[in-house]
Amino acid sequence: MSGLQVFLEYTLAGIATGGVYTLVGLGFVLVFKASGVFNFAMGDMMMAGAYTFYLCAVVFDLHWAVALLIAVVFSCALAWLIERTVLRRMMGQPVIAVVMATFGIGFVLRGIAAIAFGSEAYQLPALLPRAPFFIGDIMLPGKSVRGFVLTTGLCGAIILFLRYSRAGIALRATAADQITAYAMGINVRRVFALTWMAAAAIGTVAGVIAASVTSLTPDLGTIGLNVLGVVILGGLNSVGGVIVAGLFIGWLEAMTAAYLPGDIREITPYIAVLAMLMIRPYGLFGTRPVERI
Amino acid sequence: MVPATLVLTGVDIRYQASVDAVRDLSLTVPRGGIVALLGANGAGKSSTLNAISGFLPLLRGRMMAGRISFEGEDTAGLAPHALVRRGVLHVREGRHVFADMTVEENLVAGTFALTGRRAVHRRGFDEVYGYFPILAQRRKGQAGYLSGGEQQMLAIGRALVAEPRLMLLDEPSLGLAPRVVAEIFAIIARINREKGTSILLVEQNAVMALGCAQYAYVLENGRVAAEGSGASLAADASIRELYLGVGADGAARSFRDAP
Ligand SMILES: Nc1ncnc2c1ncn2[C@@H]1O[C@H](COP(=O)(O)OP(=O)(O)O)[C@@H](O)[C@H]1O
Ligand SMILES: [Mg+2]
Repeated sequence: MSGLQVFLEYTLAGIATGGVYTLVGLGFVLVFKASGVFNFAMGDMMMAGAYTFYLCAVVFDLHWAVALLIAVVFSCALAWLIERTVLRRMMGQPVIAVVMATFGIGFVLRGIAAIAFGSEAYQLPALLPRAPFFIGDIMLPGKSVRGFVLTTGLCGAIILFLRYSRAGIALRATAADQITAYAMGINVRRVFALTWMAAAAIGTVAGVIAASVTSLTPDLGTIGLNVLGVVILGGLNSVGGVIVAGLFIGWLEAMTAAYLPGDIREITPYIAVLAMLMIRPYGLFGTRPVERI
Repeated sequence: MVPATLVLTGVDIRYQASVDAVRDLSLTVPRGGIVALLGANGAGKSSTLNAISGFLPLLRGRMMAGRISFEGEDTAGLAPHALVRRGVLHVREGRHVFADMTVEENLVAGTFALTGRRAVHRRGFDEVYGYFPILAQRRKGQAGYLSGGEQQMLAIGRALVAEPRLMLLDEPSLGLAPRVVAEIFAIIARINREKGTSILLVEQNAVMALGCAQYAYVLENGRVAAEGSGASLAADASIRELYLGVGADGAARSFRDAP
């Protein structure tokens, strides 16, 4: 196996993992941008979506596309409920209280999953065909290539939506200046709820991809910790930043896995984040002070 | 009788952990009229507008007493965006254009005010571009790169998109060159004349404001220190000192001591 092939294969696998980080990171960033809330339940919302998919696709044996649709709708409803019952009541409380509440929501979701499904690891059906992919005579794993295409497509769709849709303008207006958004007749509270729902939908897709690459356990959401590094690196309020940072961290993890011994591997991405923050305290593309979390 | 567009009666405003910003304020904006609200920095002008548009809770402020009615209806209990959708458009002090958006995207943001109003469909922004031709030229440009005057035009244009019945303009002249101020005031007067939009105009630049307002109130330390027709206040030399804050230690004295 040639050195080039190793490099390409790990790069692709890394970018595929990074794509999942990016998606989950986008969920964080959308909510943070709109409402300034740092949602620590993001990883667990992703996990909840993945279990819903498992229920529909495996237990009820539905077509994967139908199962994904149901999972997305369910997690949107869940996010709406969370926003309505917990977060709306906490308006005007200190930011730290709201952040702790999202921690609590995450614990509850994980607890429910553990009670309902146990700690056993489930296998999800392969979302994407596994047939290998060829660039010239270099063979690449099909799962990575297609995962990459899927996440890139989704990220692109999100960017286009924020850029060109009317709802995207409402979200950017709310993110930029809440009072002026109200002055435009924008229902800011509804924008908050919609960002939670969008985050849940994106998280569900990311969760299904992540779980189908590895396996599904109630701890799937701990990927949210890696994503924490990603969003801090990219800048908490920067959509472009989180995409670059997500792909970069995923790639860096794969590179260290390919070329470095085990114990350095684990911490390399965090060293990268730390080094970056010393140079640019608001992250690569962020503009808002990080201490707002 | 047709109710006045806006009536405030006995309004008190207070911010969290702070003294009263406005005390016992009553004012009326007749249908189709321009009313000026004058006063020095800190007199309570912006607070009054924020009370009308329902922004006070967002600024940790509260209306402690009094009543505000728009077209005969009490506005208490209406969410800020709901009031906007009924036609109360607040052009905030400092313009607050969305700097990262294009001029046109800023105008699109203004269309959210039309939500639920049947009569108006998407007609494009020709009317806004008619009043402010420079915005048409800058349509695709980022709003943050506009000059101060152009940003003020965008802020007013964005409100115009919403088919306002009442416009609350907070210091449209702030930081602008006299030539630009004159241009903007001419357009404000035109909008009022051609579209019948009622206007409550907050200004520190009293000369300009009194030039186009039929009636004016002068606020000092949160209280109405003087009121009268635009012409009569403009003729009163002592008023100029009052709005400039020269007599900040008391309205009566500043009136008496005025040359
Ligand atoms: N958000 C706020 N929190 C606390 N005090 C405020 C706030 N906004 C204004 N004030 C106070 O209320 C008073 C009136 O301010 P304002 O309405 O902004 O006056 P003006 O617009 O006439 O300059 C001032 O004493 C000001 O310091
Ligand atoms: Mg003011």
